[in-house]
Amino acid sequence: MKSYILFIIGGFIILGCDDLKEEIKNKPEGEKLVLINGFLSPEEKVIKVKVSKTISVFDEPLQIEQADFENTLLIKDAVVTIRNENQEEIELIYSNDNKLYEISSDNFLIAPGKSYTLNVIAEGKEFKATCTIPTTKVENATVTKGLKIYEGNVRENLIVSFDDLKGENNFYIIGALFNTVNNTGEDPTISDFDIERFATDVNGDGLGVSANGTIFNINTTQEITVKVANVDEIIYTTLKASFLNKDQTSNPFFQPIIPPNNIQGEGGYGVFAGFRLLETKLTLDPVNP
Amino acid sequence: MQKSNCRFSIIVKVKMIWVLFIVLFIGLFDSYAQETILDQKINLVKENTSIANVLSELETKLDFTIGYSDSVIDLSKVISISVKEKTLTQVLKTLFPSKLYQFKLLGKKLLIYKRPKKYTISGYISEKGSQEYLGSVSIYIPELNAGTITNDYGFYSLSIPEGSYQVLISFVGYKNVKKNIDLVSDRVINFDLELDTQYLDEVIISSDQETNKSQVTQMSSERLNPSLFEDIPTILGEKDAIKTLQLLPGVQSGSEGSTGFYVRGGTPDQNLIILDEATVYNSNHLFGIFSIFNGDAIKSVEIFKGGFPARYGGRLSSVVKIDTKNGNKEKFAGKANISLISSSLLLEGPIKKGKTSFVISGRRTYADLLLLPFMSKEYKLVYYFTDVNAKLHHVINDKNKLYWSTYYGQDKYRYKTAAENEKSKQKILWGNITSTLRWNHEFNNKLFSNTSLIFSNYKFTVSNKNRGAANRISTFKTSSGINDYGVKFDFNYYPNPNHTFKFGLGSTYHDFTPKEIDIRNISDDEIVNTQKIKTLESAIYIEDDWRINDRISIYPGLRFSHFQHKSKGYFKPEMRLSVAYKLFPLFTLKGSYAKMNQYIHRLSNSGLGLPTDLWVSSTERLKPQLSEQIALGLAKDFGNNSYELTIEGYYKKMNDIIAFKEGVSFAGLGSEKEITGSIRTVDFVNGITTGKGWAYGTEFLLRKKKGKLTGWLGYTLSWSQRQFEDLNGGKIFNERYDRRHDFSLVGIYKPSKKITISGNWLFASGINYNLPNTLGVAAGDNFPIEDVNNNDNILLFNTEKNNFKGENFHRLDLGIQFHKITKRKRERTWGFSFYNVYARKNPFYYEVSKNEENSRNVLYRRYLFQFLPSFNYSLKF
Repeated sequence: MKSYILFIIGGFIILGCDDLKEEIKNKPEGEKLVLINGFLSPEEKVIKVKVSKTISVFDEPLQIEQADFENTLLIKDAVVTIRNENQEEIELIYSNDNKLYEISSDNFLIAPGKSYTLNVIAEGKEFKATCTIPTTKVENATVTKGLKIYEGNVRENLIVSFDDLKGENNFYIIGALFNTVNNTGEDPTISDFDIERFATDVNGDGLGVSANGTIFNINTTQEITVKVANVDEIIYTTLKASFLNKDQTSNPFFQPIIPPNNIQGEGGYGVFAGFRLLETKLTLDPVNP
Repeated sequence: MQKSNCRFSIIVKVKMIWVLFIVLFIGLFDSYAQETILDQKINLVKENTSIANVLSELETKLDFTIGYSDSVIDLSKVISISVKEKTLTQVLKTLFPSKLYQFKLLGKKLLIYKRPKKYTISGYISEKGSQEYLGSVSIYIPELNAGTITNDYGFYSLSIPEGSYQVLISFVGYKNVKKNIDLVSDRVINFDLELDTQYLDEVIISSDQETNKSQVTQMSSERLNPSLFEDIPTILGEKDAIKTLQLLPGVQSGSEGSTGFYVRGGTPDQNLIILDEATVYNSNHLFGIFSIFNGDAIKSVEIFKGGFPARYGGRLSSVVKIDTKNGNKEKFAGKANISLISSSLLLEGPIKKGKTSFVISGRRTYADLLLLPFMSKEYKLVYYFTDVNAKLHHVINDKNKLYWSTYYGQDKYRYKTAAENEKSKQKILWGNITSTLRWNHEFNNKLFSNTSLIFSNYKFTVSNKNRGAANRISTFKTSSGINDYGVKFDFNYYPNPNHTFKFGLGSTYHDFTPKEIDIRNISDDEIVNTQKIKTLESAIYIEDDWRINDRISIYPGLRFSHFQHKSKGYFKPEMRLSVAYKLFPLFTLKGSYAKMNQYIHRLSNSGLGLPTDLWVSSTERLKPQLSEQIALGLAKDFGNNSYELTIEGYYKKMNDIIAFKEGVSFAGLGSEKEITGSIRTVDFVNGITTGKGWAYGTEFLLRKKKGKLTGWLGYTLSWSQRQFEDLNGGKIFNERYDRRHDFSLVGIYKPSKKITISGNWLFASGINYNLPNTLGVAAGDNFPIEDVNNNDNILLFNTEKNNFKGENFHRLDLGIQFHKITKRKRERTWGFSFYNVYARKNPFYYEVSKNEENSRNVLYRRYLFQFLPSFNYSLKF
């Protein structure tokens, strides 16, 4: 399929007889925003909120190293608090290690069906957001591994399947880690689910949902950590925006996705929302290709 | 208190209505009670006496005088009469039994006059030599200041009083015909119009006595003849009706080189494109660069931007009606054309002279054939498109005619790779098939009907077959499409020169396949997923082109449309009205209102009209789109009808229009996995959001229609905005193709029969782009499900939709054609066209990427076509 795009663009280049691009000076400068992202779940041991600022894409070049870039944008002196329906409030503390504001959930209960309010004071401004935690979560997921052909190549494949939560539109984020049994010294490897990391049940409520991810060494006994999150739609959309907007600026047919925003307050942007998480470990026998 | 006030108000209103009713009743009763001389009863017995004597006695008895014209009323006739207690009216009816006689009382004077008898002239107007029926031809009787125009099938009917008249037949590009007729009975008169070589191809848009802009009630419409788009220079020399439409005010082009068009702030899917009565769903070849309409086969193109007649419906923004030729009924003829990228051939002629004719035309691009020798065995890429238009016309008898027309068009893209152990074959196919069977029937000389059986198909297919190591095979196929099966009955009724009624009904069964996928992989798993939507769209309409007097004419219409999907039905009345008021004989003020509903929609990410766009229908969860448009304008003809000026302002409100939610797509241009993933995870209704739209603006068009130099100057000042709950945070935003200014200058100069020089210059404000311009830390690493891309923690985004206004677009195209009549009386034409003569680097899209010199992000304008010369050669035989 990629040849299809190459054909269109290539055709245009041939017709134009040039490198077909020219720098222009009249640029739409990006906004200076306070970017806030906080995702709450009763299954998480730590409550985390990330606060950072944005820059224009045309600003002076930043450090090329990823970590340095992030450090430049992080806001470390914000006041971040979360309040529950009983008006009980807790302040989150900035962690230099994790580069976000956090507090153990032992100190502040996140409960299904409950609403929470986030308050952030940063860069001399105050921002607010509220969210409600989903009541239901995926209880079971099954995993199988095997071979699959993608675009002519044989691939070792992992299929994560689970039953949809009935009665409402659900949005899922799917992932998995895998490790060879008896090889516990190594960090588990992340399975690449590509676009199948994102799934919804809008095609049919209550049907089975499955997603394919990459895996290696299926001929060994493996321990798989499966994660399936039932998330608020705005978490789904903001993560999908990050995924899809990458490396698409040179695709003329792609419309960049505007991430959603539920942060109130001038100059604030981001998502504060809830999710439910299933995390389960399974051991799979070897499969001979 | 409020409640009692309200009650009081209702009581007052009811009482006022009663009083009004009583006053009206008394007034009516009073006027009824006033007895006139005509109601007075008399007794009269006369034998063998003249009518004059009888009238004389009546004058004496009832004390009144009689006025009449000797030349019309014969009073010398001898009669016998015996009446008792009869009113004067009854006595007069006994004396003058014909219904043509009328009696009118003016004080004490009774006028007796004879209404002239009316007869109907009707028939067909066709081209001399080919017998091609001509639509929109003017039939005008100067003495009566009455006239009509032929319908799409060349039929006309005009009912006028008996007498001797001169009939003037006129149509652009043809010699005028004057014929004296003695009308003493109904007449069938067929006219043949001879091509006017003096003006051949010079008059570019219909213009004659009855169809001058200041003379017709219809506004916001244009009709183009094929000669126009044969002369205007286009990209790569491909004559294109749609690209010519884009040069008219109110019709804007999409991206550079695209045939997608945007009418008065609408979107391409809001344009109803009708080819010989069949709806065309995809009007593009080569990803939008060329339209599917082969210029050789087209007889006429008509566009309506507003003031829509009630016979059209189903789309919000425009109607483009394309009619193909019927074929020469007199002799065999043809035309061959070779251009830089394609060749075409048209053949036409009689199967049975004067009775049955055919026309067939085909076109194919051949870049693939030329490149074939350069392709290796390991790598082969093929692309071409092809069109075939065919039509049969059969005259059963004077009152019955049959037409069968069909279109087949297909774009084919194939890509093969072959390595030692692996082979891959990809195919992308898309195209339309339409077929229409029409039966024209004349019930009588005033009532004409057309019955159509219509089929239309559009299909887009992507397939992929891979053979990997150890002969492992996987196949993947996805397609989407639509099949339409329709029947339509249209009637034209011409009771008198002041009324032309059009009415009819029709129904179309839509069979949509928004998505069908079939995947087989190594494990012999088969995934088949087919979505089907079956709907029925029906409508009934009536409209009347009504000339109230010499100054005022109105064109009211009413359409009732109905759409059924499963148990959900939508029933929508649609009001249409056009009004024209002549301020001066050739200067008219016009206004119009039109309400439109759209039940089927195209889902598009790119807005470019790519074949990946999907057609879907309204369902129980997705309401039809609705628009209301008002327009006000002036039309002026001047310079002995050589010039025409129209100025129109419009305001269009659209409700329940649709768009994708953020991040939703159905068939991207990415990998197979991306496509299957999106299909699996998105159902079309859940992936879209509905909202509102506003479009308003002013259009200016000054045209020169006659002479060696013809052309026009068009300008549009417009705004187009949208609001969706799920887009842009619910805030109003400018539509992508919201262009503030759009200017076009078109000129065609024919100094002699041997040469045609043409040029057009366009200027348009930039369109709006979604440009990610803000960098931040992505949310991904704050989420507990790891992704392989989480380390890449930069988020590039924008917060406002269509946040960047692109640069202005302008371009000059020139063309020159050399014509020669050969010794064998064949017309040979060499044409050369030059697209974007001054090589303006017009924006196609914008890209943010790193400048390699300073590692800084910069904004690049990507552009496509700079100076592009091309040629074409055609031979008419």
